[in-house]
Amino acid sequence: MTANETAANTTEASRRWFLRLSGVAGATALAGCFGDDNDGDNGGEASLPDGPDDDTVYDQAFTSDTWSLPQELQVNPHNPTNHDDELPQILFEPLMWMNNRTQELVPGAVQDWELDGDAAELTLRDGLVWHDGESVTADDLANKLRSEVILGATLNDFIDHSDDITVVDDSTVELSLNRDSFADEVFFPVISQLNIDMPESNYGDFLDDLQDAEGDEEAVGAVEQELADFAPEDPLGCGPFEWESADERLLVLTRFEDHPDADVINFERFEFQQVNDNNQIWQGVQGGDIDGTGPVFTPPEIVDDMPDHVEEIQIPAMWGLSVVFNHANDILADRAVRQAMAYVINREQVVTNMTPRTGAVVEVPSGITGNFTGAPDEWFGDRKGEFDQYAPSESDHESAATILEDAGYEKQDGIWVDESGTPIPAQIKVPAPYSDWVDAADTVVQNLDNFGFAAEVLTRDEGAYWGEYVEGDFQILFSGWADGTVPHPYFNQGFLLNDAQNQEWASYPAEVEAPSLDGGTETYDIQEEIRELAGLGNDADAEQAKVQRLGYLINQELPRLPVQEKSDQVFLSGDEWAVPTGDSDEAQVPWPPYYLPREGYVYADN
Amino acid sequence: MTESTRDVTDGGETVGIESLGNDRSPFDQVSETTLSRKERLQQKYDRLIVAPGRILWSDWRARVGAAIILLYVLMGTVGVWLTEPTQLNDAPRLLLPFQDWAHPLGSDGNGRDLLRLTIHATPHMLQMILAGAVFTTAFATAIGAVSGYLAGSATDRILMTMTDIAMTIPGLPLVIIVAVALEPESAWLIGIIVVINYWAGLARTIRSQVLTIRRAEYVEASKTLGLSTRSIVTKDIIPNVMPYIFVNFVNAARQVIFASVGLYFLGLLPRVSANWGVMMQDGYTGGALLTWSAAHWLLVPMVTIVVLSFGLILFAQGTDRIFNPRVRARHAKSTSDENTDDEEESTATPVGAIGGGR
Amino acid sequence: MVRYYLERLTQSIITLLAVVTLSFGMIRLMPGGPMEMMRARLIRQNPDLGMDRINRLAENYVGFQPDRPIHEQYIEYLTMLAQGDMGDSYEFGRPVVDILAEALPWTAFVMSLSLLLMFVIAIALGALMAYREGSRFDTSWTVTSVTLTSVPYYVAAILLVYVFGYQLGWLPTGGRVAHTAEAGLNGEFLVSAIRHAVLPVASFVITGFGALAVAMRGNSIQVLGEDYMRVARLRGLSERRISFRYVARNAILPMWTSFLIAIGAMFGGSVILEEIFSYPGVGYYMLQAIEMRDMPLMMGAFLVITIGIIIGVLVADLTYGMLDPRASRGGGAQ
Repeated sequence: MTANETAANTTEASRRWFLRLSGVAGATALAGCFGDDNDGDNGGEASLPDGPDDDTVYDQAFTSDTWSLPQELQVNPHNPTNHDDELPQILFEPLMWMNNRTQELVPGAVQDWELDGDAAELTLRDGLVWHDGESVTADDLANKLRSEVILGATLNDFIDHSDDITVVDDSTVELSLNRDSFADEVFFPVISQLNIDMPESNYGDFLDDLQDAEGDEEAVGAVEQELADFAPEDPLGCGPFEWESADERLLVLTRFEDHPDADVINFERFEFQQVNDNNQIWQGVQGGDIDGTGPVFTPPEIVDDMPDHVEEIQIPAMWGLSVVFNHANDILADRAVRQAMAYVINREQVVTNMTPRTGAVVEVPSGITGNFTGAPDEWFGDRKGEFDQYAPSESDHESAATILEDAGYEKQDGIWVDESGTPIPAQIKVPAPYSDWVDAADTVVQNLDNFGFAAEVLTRDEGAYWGEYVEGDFQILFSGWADGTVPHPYFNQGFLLNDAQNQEWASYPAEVEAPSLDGGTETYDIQEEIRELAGLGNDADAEQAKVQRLGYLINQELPRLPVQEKSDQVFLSGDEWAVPTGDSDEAQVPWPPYYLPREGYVYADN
Repeated sequence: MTESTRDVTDGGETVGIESLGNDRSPFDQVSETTLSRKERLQQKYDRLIVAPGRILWSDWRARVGAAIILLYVLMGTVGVWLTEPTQLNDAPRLLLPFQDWAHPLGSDGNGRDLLRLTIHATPHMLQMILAGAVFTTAFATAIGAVSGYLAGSATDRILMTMTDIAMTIPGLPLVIIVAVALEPESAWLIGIIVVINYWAGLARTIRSQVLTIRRAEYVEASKTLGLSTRSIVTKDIIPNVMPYIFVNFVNAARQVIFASVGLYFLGLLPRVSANWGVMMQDGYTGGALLTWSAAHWLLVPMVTIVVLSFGLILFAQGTDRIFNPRVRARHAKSTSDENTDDEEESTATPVGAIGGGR
Repeated sequence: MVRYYLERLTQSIITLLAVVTLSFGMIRLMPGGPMEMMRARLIRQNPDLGMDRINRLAENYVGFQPDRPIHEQYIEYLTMLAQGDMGDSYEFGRPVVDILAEALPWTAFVMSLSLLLMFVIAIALGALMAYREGSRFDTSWTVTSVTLTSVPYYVAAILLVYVFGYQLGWLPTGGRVAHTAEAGLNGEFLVSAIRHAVLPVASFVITGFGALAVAMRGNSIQVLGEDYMRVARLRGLSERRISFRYVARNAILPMWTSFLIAIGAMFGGSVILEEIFSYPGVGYYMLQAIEMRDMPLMMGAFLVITIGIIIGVLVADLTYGMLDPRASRGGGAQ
């Protein structure tokens, strides 16, 4: 409908990205100490702590980790350098939170939300105050949303112009969407990822400039560039903790008394300690220096060695590893080759080798996340049997051979080649620092090799990996297959089919002829299909049918092959702190260290 | 080193051989026309191989060092031939060493047998060592010898300027930048890259040694006799710097090991699945330092590397004794040195850049 | 004398030029540049950005039009350098000169300390071993020295930090100085700085002194067998006088080349070591810059390290002149 709804604007990959999700080898850092021989217990029952006994505010610091040098950290959401992903969650107020297990939104700065046709209404929480004393008003909320619309973020897919955002009163904002058929699950999660983080005192001018420039792409670009270079000197937040000091090792935030949640927060400081790699994080948790981590990939041995008082929280990531084929390569553009590889790759073996405790095998490749909770089955309904599973637990040489032979390939001297004798390309590129992906690559290559593909692993450092990915300079490559923050298939199937990473980098066609769920083949206009999916909020059956249809397309076409879905691991220390047990539902909100204190589920407990 | 004959002492015993490689003393030389070709070869063989071999064997350090090196060479040749490369899931994950004799050194986080992984990583390492050490030594010797012999000339100055510049450019940063830029995969290429400017220090040392030799009488004699520069350099000079060349070869080998393992450990070189540095990296990120159940994953490659370096250094120490009798000269009156000017450069133990590593 | 220093200066400039050219060339060859890294980061941090926007932001980050011909960029960079400007770091958004000027003293601190300790220990030990040649002291220390030299310094670093930092908690496990100490020449600051430097220095020293000690031993033994030693004894000089005036001087001088090489090795080794200890010195920034493809910072750090080595060598040269009265040319042995 609008000019902005292009392949380029659909939601892209997770904000929690590779670096901490996989094991980062990169910078070698410090050694660790032995854990006790006790198991890091996950707790049998889910239980929440009762709440502090008294009103004392303890002079204690809850320490988390950061990858940047604290003295360089800045908090402008539009400035990509020296940025910490989790800091905004405690310094500012996220609009809403998402519970990844129940898949329901939790109120944040936005206390109430409603969608009726094409009108959405957001109610701001009472009592929020900027750290300089000014109240947070609906204007702040509206400004944030407007800037997102003008700058062309995902919100732009739903709202056309900043004028469609109006402030009704001090705590209510109304949004006029560009369609009246969006589902709640499609629209609101998009907003939930934003924070109230652009106070007028710092950004007032930028906001004005943006509004003036709206509609003129170049002008907007110019303001955007200026905004990207801006780093506020005195970070001004509105969350439960305010900026105190930062040096080369530690960022210190202090408790803000006037925050609505302040009465359940009974400790004085929230700190971020600089770390260079995962070893330091594990170290810090074992040694008691770090009380709550962001997501950090941790092998089972290390989890087992953690002291008893450490709780491990596994949160479904709605994201995972996939095998990306370069469709610019003639042979790999042949669906038969991709399907054959899917049969040969033993997904279960891959998952066991890369993430034995925290990974789930993608049972039916379809772009639907939720392999931990069985969500795909709900979408499949009774049509599940019509989808191909591609032998998830074994390396099915027979089926693969049949498919290849039917498509005109043959095995020469132990290697599968096409009619002209060209071997089927099977070089897999992997970023070297992501150790679990490297393990997966080794497994996949072994699978492919044993069948007769000339497979090999090529590791690249991060810069090279991204460079070659963007340029399309690869045969096969590992990357993610879903959005990573939102469960609805609109985002995940959308990513898998329509995202620039697929369309531009992997050269997947915008229009493709493929088998249809209802028999025969047909031509799919991918962008159109995804767009339609967004607007089926009022018709559950039609929505399900659409998801099945797209799921089948992915299932047959395998633009990329989803292999694994993972959980993120977060650790909380129960030593001097009261924390929920690892299995509690309430703890399934990314990310626990910054969410739970606000609810009084994490507090100082000596 | 400046005489035609030396007494090589070993615990007081005179072994009494002719000096190595130097058959040009005007007084002792047997006219070559009186020896048959066979006898000449025999003489050479004795001189160059048998005698040093005997001395080598007498020094425990050389013995032990040689044994260790030989062990690794065997591992990289016979060992590879005798064992199958290990695949993923060959063994249960993180099997501890000495538990199961099918997997004597245990297994890594993916079930790969550590012993076989270590063995199969050896050829790659040996190739790198060979490439790097040969390149470094050859290049340094060529430049050092020529430069030393032509000391004072324009050629010398140019070569030495080049050498100084190469020596000043920081080694490891340069290697890292080159490695990241070129992403080399061939072991030979990697071997050369990781010691890409290591030759500079060696070249200097060789040059100063050549300066010393240059003034020896036998060289004068050769010049008087009108022999070509090339002939003098190859027949007089190079054999007398052999000890230094040899020791520096070993140092370069050690440097190749340290630098390549370091780079693989940091993930700056394209990954090779059977590789000690990569094993260290995998062990490290797999939490080897945090839990005993994975510690062996890191320790096995570490020990492997240390032992090989140890063997190389020990061997170099041992051979140094053969080549440089003055180390023992406290007890035996050795030859006098006339070159006090350049003496500061004729170190008994050429050290090369061992300090701190690059 | 003047001519000599002039020569050295010219050589230094050529060296720096070589460094700039090399890094310029190599960086252009590196797969994946700062734009790709920034794109990756943008995708990672802001899931909502469109590709157009990402590209724009990435270009803004890099700050110049990447299509300009290389020689133009090269000349421009050289001009900037001549004015003492190394450009701005992409990553930190600050002038490279500022970042490195702040980091350099720390690297120099660790390096100087390491060099000093390493050589002092090596010389003392080596001489002692030579005097007691053949004894158990000699043999055991030779073996120890050789064993320790077989350990790469980064391996020693990992083990040291593990034992002393984490297990025993005696020493800090990272950083340059406690964040509570105020900068300045006060006791707390100095003590803290030293405590943070102990492990990095120990890693270098423990793995480095061995080879030098053995070399020193060899030199000393050689000297001890010299004729002039006999003469000195015959003359009736005290053993002490002999050891200092003759043995020490003559045995140490050959180590000079090793010293020069060690300077280079230390500065170069700082790249790995500072990474292991999270010690933001020049080496640390260089490695970060390489990984992030932050070109100005990378080239700047490379240059600064080289300059450090040049200065170090210069200082060594000058001191050599003091040690060796035979030095014919001003300050230079070779």
